[in-house]
Amino acid sequence: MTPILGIFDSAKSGNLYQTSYDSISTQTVSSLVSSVTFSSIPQTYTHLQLRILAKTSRGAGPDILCVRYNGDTGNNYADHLIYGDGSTVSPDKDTSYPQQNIHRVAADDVNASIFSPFVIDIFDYTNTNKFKTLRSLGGYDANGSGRIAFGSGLWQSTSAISSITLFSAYAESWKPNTQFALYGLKVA
Amino acid sequence: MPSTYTPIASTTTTTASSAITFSGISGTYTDLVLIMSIRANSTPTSFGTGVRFNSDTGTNYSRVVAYGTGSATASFTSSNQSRIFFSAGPTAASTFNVIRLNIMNYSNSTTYKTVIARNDDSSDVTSMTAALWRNTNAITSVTITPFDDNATGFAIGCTFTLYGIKAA
Repeated sequence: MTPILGIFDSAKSGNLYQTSYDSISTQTVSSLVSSVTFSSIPQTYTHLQLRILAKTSRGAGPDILCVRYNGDTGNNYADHLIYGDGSTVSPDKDTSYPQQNIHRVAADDVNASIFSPFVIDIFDYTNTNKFKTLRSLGGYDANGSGRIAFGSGLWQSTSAISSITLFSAYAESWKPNTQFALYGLKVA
Repeated sequence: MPSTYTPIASTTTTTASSAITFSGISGTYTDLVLIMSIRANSTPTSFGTGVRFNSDTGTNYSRVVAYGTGSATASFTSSNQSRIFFSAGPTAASTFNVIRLNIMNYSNSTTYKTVIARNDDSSDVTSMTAALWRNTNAITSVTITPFDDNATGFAIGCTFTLYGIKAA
């Protein structure tokens, strides 16, 4: 199969843009690990996409998937999301926070074979004139319970993103078979 | 870096159709993305589509859904279902319902298979879904079936495209 060359038709300029979608790096967890970091991210793409299937060791309830960039632990992050829990749709947010909370992730409180998928797009990650913004879609279903959410996240830094760390809000560990895959999208 | 996001197969309906199946899906990729643009062949009072894996008709599917109609929001779960159901409602001429499914780690044999999806019906509702197939088998086929109370199937011009994404 030949990889797709997507073509986006720009309504403003009338130009056609060819894109590529490349696999940069993948980390599959084989034993409990507290965090996963993608470092030395190539600066040659336009956008990044993380595709995740994850589960943590938290036994007391669902966990939360969190993101930091470039090792920054300052209160430079914010996020907003809308989620459904099977009963109601609700908003949530964090401001001036030390990490981006993406959303609930399956943990040890549900069946061992249930993992949470997430697709996270990080836009213009090398642009040094913008704060960095992501959008996310993710959650899990556990046959009668679960969560689904989409959200946005802000890192108030104009630095290019060169590393991404993914961890549990409750300092739990990623379970074996958790997988984090990083892709780069290039607009030629 | 290896390029990926590869079109595996695509179908456009040229007659009213009752089911679309992508079979013989290899385990070459890491994730699958299925994009459907659908509408009913008639004007039913209710319409939707069901997705099944490996022809499993057992009650092994479930979902949690959140949606907005423009004036209200709601969320619900459906457990022990015989397929992953997506409602679809365009009735205006030339309007199609677009559903994009991410089927994660479809070929591993250790986890249940989970789908996250966006369902955009520009005339009625937008929704997001997390769905579960309680089976650890690798997915080798995907069947998409219409559900409408007139039983007339998918309209001409519906498209179904399956992509594969391979992690390095």
